[in-house]
Amino acid sequence: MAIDKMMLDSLTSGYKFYIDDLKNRNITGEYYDTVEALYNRILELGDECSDMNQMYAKMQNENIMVKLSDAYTKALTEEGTKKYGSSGNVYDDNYLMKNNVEALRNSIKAMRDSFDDVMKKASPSEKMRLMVDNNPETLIKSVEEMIALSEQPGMTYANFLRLQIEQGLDTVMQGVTTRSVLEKILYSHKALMSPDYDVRMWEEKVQEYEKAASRNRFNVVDLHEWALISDRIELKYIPERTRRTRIFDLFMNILGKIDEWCIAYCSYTPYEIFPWSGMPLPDALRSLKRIQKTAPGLVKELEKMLQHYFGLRFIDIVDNPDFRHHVLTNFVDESQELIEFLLMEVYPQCKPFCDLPSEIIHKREQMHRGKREGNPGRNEPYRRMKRYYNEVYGEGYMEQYMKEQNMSKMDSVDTDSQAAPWNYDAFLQNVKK
Amino acid sequence: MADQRLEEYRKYYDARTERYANNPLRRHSYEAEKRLRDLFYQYDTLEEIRDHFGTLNIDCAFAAWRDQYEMESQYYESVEQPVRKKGADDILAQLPNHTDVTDMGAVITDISNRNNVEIYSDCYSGEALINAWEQLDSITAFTNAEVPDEYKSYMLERAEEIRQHIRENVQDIEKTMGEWIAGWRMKPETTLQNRHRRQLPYSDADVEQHLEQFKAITNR
Repeated sequence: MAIDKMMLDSLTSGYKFYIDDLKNRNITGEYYDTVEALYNRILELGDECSDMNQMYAKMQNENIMVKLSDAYTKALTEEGTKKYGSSGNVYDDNYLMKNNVEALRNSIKAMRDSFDDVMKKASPSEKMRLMVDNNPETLIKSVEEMIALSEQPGMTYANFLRLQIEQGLDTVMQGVTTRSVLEKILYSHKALMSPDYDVRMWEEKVQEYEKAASRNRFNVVDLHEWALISDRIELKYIPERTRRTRIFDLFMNILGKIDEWCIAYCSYTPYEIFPWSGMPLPDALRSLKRIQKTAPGLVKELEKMLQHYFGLRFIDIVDNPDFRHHVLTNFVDESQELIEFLLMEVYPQCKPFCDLPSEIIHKREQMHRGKREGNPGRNEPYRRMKRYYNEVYGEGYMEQYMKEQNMSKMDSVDTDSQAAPWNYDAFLQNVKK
Repeated sequence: MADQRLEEYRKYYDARTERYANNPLRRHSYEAEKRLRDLFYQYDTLEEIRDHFGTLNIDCAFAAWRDQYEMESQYYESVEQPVRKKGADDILAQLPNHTDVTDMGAVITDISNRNNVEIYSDCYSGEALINAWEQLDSITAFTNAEVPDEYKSYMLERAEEIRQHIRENVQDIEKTMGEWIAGWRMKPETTLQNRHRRQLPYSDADVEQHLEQFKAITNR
């Protein structure tokens, strides 16, 4: 099967730039021919390959990207040498200053053109996001400051270059990570209530950025140095994150199986609960019977693993920081009433070869009929996201985004749970009685 | 007596040098920039300086690369990332063989691209067990769970389905990597290297046992 044309076009158009640019500059010769031959080879590979992975692999193995970029650079250098002689012979400050400022002006135009291009193709919500995340005007402002510097009365080329360094303007075009970018990410983790280890990790990044900046004479953080500092901080958090995630996943896996075991006995399940409600009735009943008979054995095996790996019992879930976070952030699907019921009444019965007593099944059915199984605050994470994104990208952003994703209902529909809201302290008291 | 233009250039090259002062991670840049700056103090006219410029400017570009890749090499050594370190070391080994900035730039891109393939290869091998861990535990649970006799064959079938998923996943990965490295085969024991091992919060005995289980299923 051939590669999707849109994906292929997007790849080849990037390389077509090299040909177009050389043509626009009227550059011909050996290096131009190489660029053209390599570009044609990319087009050939596009016809030969069946997917993008294969295409990239062949381009890499034939070293096309490097050869193409190299030939393009050499074509430009050769042309420059023809026009102006080698750089060692150029020592005209006015010429250099003029060239430098012209390059800055061109970069402003290129940034605006490229941004306008992206904006033209963007949906209304994408436009709002791009205006905040990718708006080049902040960068352009810095470039304009550099141009203004060059236009100061009596400004010489040497002073212009020196002041750029001293004011940190020379690093602007490298797209250095700034403290404000890190602070924005940290703020997003706090606003969206990410796990505590993520918040701590980004706090540490902000602090380390400050330290790195303070070590530099011009308060600038070296881009490569920062990448490594940042990487070291991320590595530091891996053991804690993986351990906590694995424990939490095991807890939730066991809890899910206990819940499934419980509803497998309820009379409403084959008719109302997906996936059984979508199955022919005999298949649904057979599936539910199987769950009744096998879930307790699976729960016991998972409990053994929890104990063996981490020295924890299933009931320790109540003191688990990530379960607590799951509840306090309202990512928990179940109501407090249901979780307490599962932990205190269903779980003690969940033993291999045992069935769930009828009074417990009845209680669950009552809870279902009374619409008390779901967490009434379950929409809070969505509201939190809405508050955050509307604050960052502008009022109405989230509503527009949801409309474009055909998810507008989420904006108005609330959970229909009649359960009492979660109270974690009361929950702890109840389950530890 | 130096003229004003030369004085201004001296201050500019002072600033360039100063930017790297007292930063051990940028010592080559500092030294190269300092040599360039010293040239401006050695002569009293820009013409004389131009005549003695030689490769000092190019040396600064090469020094910046040397600093960057020494920094990476030392960092990756310290965090036990030998595959990433190899990319930096390969570039460092090539620096003395080149004098042209454009050529060296192309060499760096080429080595970095090839190293990226090595990194992908290492990750696919090293993370295979990490990604399959929960599936392996499910196999154990389905195999060992106490269930009535009439459900035992169903449980074993489920365990076999999971084994099949694991095998298919390995085959998919090998097909993808095979496009980059002909005949590539997964080496699951790569997980035991610390760069991957630290992502598994389990005892060595558990890791060994799971690794054997994974290798037996996938025949790798």
